[in-house]
Amino acid sequence: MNKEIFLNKLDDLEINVKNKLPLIKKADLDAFYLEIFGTHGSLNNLTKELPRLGIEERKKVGAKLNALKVNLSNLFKERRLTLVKESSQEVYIDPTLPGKSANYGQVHPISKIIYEVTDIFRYLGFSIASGPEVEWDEINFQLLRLDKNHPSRDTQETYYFNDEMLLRVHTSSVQIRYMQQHQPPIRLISPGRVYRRDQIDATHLPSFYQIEGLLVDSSSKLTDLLGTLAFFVKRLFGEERKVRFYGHNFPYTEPSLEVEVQDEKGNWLEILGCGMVHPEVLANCQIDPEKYRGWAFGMGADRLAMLKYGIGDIRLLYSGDLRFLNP
Amino acid sequence: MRAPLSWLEDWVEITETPEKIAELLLLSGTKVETIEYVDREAVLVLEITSNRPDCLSLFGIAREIAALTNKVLKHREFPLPKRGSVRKELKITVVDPKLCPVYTSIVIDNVMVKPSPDWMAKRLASVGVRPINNIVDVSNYVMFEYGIPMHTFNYDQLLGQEITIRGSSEGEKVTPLDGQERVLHEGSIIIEDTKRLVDLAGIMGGQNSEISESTKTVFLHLPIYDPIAIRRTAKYFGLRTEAVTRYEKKLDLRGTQYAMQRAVSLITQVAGGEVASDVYSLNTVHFQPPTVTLTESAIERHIGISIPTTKVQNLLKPLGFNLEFTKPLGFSITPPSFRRDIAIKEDVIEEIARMYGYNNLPLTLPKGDIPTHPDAFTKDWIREMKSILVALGFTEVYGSTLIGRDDVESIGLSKDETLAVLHPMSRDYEYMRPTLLPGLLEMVRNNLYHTEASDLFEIGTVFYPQKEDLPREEQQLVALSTRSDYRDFKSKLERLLRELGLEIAVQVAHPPPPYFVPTAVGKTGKIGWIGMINSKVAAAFGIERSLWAFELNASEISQQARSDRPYPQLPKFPPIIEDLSFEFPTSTYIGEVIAAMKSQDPTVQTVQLIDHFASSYTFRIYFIHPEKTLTSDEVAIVRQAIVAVVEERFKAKIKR
Repeated sequence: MNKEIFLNKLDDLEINVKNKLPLIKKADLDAFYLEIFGTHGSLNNLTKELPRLGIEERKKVGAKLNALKVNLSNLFKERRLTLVKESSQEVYIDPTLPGKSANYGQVHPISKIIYEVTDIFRYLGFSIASGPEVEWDEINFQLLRLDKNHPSRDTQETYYFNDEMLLRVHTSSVQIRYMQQHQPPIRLISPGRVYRRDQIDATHLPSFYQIEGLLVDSSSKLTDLLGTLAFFVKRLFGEERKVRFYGHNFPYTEPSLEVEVQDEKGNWLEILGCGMVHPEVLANCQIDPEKYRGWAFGMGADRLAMLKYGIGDIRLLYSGDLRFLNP
Repeated sequence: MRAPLSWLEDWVEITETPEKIAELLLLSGTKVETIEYVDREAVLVLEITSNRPDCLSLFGIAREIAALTNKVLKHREFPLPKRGSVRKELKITVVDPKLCPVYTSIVIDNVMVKPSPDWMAKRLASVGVRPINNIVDVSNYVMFEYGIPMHTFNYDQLLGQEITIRGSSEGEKVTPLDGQERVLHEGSIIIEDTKRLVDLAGIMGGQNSEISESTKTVFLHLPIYDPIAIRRTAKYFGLRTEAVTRYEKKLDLRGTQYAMQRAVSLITQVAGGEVASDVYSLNTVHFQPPTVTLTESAIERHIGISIPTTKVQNLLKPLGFNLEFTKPLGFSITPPSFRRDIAIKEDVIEEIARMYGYNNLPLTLPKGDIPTHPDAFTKDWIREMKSILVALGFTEVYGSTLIGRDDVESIGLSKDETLAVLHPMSRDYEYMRPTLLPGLLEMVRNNLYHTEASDLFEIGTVFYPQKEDLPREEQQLVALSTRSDYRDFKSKLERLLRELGLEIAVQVAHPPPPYFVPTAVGKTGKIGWIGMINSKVAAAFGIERSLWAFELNASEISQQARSDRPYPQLPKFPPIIEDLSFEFPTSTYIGEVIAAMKSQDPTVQTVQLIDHFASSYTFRIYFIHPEKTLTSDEVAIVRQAIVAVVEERFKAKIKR
């Protein structure tokens, strides 16, 4: 063995691999790799013959052998990559096949609408509060100027446990509690469950959800109430939705209004009641009505959810029917 | 309240379309529910709020329309005819002025009772009143015109020519016009002559003194009664008449004289007759409307724009308000006597704003300080819990907070531990739920008709009664699954708690709530339970499958949850991984075994249960040291400790 023969063998090996590799199929690649790189492969065999050369020759030839190893390794890598790419080109699927059902739950529509509404008001600096559903008559009615003789105070309307304890008919009771414990500025949203005696039908249930809001500070005015609610309606229903206000009467606000939004067919739908908080109500909560003014509003969450999500019957919301809740 | 436009034109010229009138009324606070057409004439059907009894009269509505359309309101005069030659008196006693503070009456003799003329009968029909005879019809007609109820009696049936108006005692009897005798309770207002009761005052006239065709002399009176007494009596008997609708509100205490004069004029017009007495008038309240002072700047502060006083005057005068300028930019306002809803400056501001037009005001956003109370910033953990459960495949449901006695008993609780509502709607909605479970079980059963798998959750209020106080309310979270594997189900609970920053192990504890299978349930720290629902309970709800559930105190979780869970450091050195298998005696708690293994040495970083068959369990143990690669000798020492503790404490046998 001499240097020339060795170098020729290196060249032959290189040519051999370069010629064969492009024709090697995926199934044969590993076998061919072993032929070249394996324990009994060509490269190893040549390496074993190195000691037969002289020390000086060994150095030069050894360097060339190493360079060839790296070169051939890269060629194999490239070929492997090419084969992978090609083989994936051969995979066939019908992309229009329907997917299987992914395992995913669903938040309830009333939760969704409450979060949508509260997120809009959070943007305006409102925080969220909750309170008891079983409430004192005083907090639910009397402090809101609904004394026991008021026409809307019928036991036909309210569920009582005894003379003083009842199921709240609105979440205004949460606002009263909050005002009793905090001085202005106040910006509060109180969503929650409320109860009213009602015949059950497609739009009425004896218990449902309300979302009420309250703002009290030293500079608030009627145009703020109108502007905030118009802002809210546009965020919830869309920029192009028209809103209108009309006068109404609530014992706890003065002036009192209702708010309507126009649907696609041009019908006006009432969605909110609101007004400037009556000074007596503020005074009942130890908030000085000469220094502070406030406004409040309330809406039915079920009704809003039905409007926004196209739900026709309120009873579906409490049915637990998965076909409806997670179709 | 029905308002035919043609009748309204007695007082105001209407040139706008009915739709436009309806819109103007609605926007300014008088709600028009619908417009009906009767004989091609438009009739507005209005909803009048309880603070505006002046609009329970056509004149009142005409006034609103005149103000809104800038037209003149015609005020009609009805001078009282002089007393005729015949004199017929009646003695009137009002026992309690609180029950009847204002009273006006007169006698009209020589009337001819017969059906009302066509025009009057038609008008009454158009407002929903059935014509009866000309005298009775006049009292209804004028009530609709001017909002003051009144009553006509057959004078000759008022025995002794004397009437007394007083509060009733328990047990007294009266037979009103509908022919049904009523037994009174204490505090109704009644009228009696010298012998018997002749009127259930303010509600319905007495049958014995009603006007009939033979009546020759009419006693007409216009009392104003105590609204609370009228309301109580009307509710008690379930009698809701047009008179009651007005009497239960705050009527114009100065309005009876004019209405009486109008009624006399109309009676003499349609029934003939002559005035036969002086006008009897009683007034014990001498009502004075309050005066409210306002300034331009106060108006601007409340409403948000500057409205000059001249404009304010133009808005309020047509409604009957009187303005006097007190300073350059201030004035004092006196409302008319028929507006007893006006007491404070905010009431006047409402009038100004509604007549200005709410939709004409600019829209502004609040400019005040943003609140910074600490409790405004609490994180909504419940919302977080819902997101996590949804990602784990559960669907949120909302159930009823009121449940039935059967529900309470079916889950093994006693109704004495629950809060019952008075006069429930039905037996199914009687008790405030102490747990979410009954409603959820029903929903699972209903869903099983349509789907194979039901993974539901609810986070809602449960109620624990407290003596002499409101019940304690808690947010409870219950998740249910019909899928069959416990470890699968438990992994969801573990993931939920981990995502909330809580590390709580499930342990064995007794006694569990009665709706769990006692041998298939575990306690999650202090916050709840996880296990299989008792099959008797499930069967009571019509469910034959096995159900897994976890029930947690979401209020408590909200207190403990944290959002600052640290991210792990990646190990610098590779772990040594070993599998160990053991045979355990039955009723070994594997959780305790794993805890014991981990406690042997800090290098036991993770122990996973990777296989289990019968009583044989295989664990995969990851040994990691943070500073170096462990040698097999070091691992062997810990492994031996692990094997020793498992074999000794749990009486297990290692499988080689």
